[in-house]
Amino acid sequence: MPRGWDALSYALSQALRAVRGNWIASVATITTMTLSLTILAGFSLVSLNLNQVLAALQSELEVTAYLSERADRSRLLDTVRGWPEVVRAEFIGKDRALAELVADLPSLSVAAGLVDNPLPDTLRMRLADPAQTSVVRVRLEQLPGVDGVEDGSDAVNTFLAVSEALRVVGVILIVVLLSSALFAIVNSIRAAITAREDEIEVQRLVGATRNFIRAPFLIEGFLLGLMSATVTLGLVIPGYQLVIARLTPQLPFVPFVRDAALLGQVAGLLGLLAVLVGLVGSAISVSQHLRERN
Amino acid sequence: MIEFKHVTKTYARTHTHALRNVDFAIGKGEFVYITGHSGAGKSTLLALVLRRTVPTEGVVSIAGQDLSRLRDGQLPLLRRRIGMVFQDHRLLPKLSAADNLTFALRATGAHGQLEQKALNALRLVGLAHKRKAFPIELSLGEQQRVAIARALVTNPPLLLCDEPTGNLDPDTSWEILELLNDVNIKGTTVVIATHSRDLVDAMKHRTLVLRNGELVRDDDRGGYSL
Repeated sequence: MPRGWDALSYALSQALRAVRGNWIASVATITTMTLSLTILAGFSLVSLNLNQVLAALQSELEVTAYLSERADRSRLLDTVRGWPEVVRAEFIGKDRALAELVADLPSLSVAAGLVDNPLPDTLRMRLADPAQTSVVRVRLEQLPGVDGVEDGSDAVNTFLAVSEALRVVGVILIVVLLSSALFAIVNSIRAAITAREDEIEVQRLVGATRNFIRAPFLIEGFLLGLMSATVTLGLVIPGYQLVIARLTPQLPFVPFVRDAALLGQVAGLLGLLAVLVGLVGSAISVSQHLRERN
Repeated sequence: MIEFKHVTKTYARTHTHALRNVDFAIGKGEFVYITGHSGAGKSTLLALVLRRTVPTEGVVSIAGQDLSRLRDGQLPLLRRRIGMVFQDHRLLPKLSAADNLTFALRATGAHGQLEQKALNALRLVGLAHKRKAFPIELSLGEQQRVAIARALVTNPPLLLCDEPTGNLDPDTSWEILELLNDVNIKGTTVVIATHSRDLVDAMKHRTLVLRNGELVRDDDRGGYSL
């Protein structure tokens, strides 16, 4: 058997022995980490869904310019089609606009026959990037023959503000929750070190390298992180599927995230994060101990 | 093998001068007692050889290597060349005699036939038949023999013993001393720190006497005289 493999399997057996031998501390650590990771995962999924809703809203966003009676329609249409922000522009005559309105609100059909068409001619535009809405709006308002401009940016801006606030809250949550998970690991490994202090002392005296002493604790941290991630994903993934199954009939217009690849990425990232927290936490504990004892 | 050149060790926090201008050299294959009352500096001297601490002044070297210049990463290599025996033996209570030895072997990166190497070392101290016994099932003398076997299992050229008979009755102490003498005859350099007059007088070897951190006597004929 290769020498490195021998050392690794010995470190693994020591780590498993420590997890089993100190099972109360291990369960406490896994519980704390699972709670933190579950909240993180829940928040990530909410955030992912909000982003999807925002993207859907933005993709449907149109800018409408109301034209005066004397406006040069074809020149205006050519002008806006030349702007790089505009991916599609269409002239809607006042008669078509009224027909569309009546189609949307059939109760207006009688009134429409009694009065002259009050609607103006319009230009409807779809932008490549909805964030450019205000730029295009200002430019449109300066064009001769444009009486007014309307866009749906108010709703999108409100949504963007909520999304931004959630992002900030998310960052704070990540820091707080990951810190608590890290402290749980640090304390657990510290307890494991204390329980094996005599062994470590003998190892140091007979000439064990730092890596040899560190390895079982790093593996223990890795295993605790891995177990926490497994429990978290076992709770979160079925839980999420249950929640969207319940919400879909009530909110049919919300495009919930169902993409298995995307959910797989979230699960993978969460697992990676848990394992990293386990490794970093144990590395902090062991380094601190070895520094104190050197 | 071991050389102290004008070594002074002061513990700044307590303003204690543990060693003052100590000069001596121990050659390969020697058997040396380091004696003195409690607080004379014996343990500090051993700690310097193990490089658990460094001198405030002067140079401690082993095989020509100045220990103060050793990097942390080189420390394990130094300690693999030194076997260490303590008064309280420091055996791991949850491991059998043989497992205590294989534990030490693994820690030094030894590979292959660990059980056989452990058994050979236990045979050397006359305890092969007790290889499966746990420390609590052994007498104090047997525990110390296992500790000596653990110190020797990696075949170090130097064996340091800190009060190895401190907890033992005179007969058992004599047995341990005979064992250490046998180890020395086979070529291992043995250094014993002790304040036991009986031990030093029982088997005469070169004796270094420390008093208040100073080396006051270095006598090849040996014997306890403070």
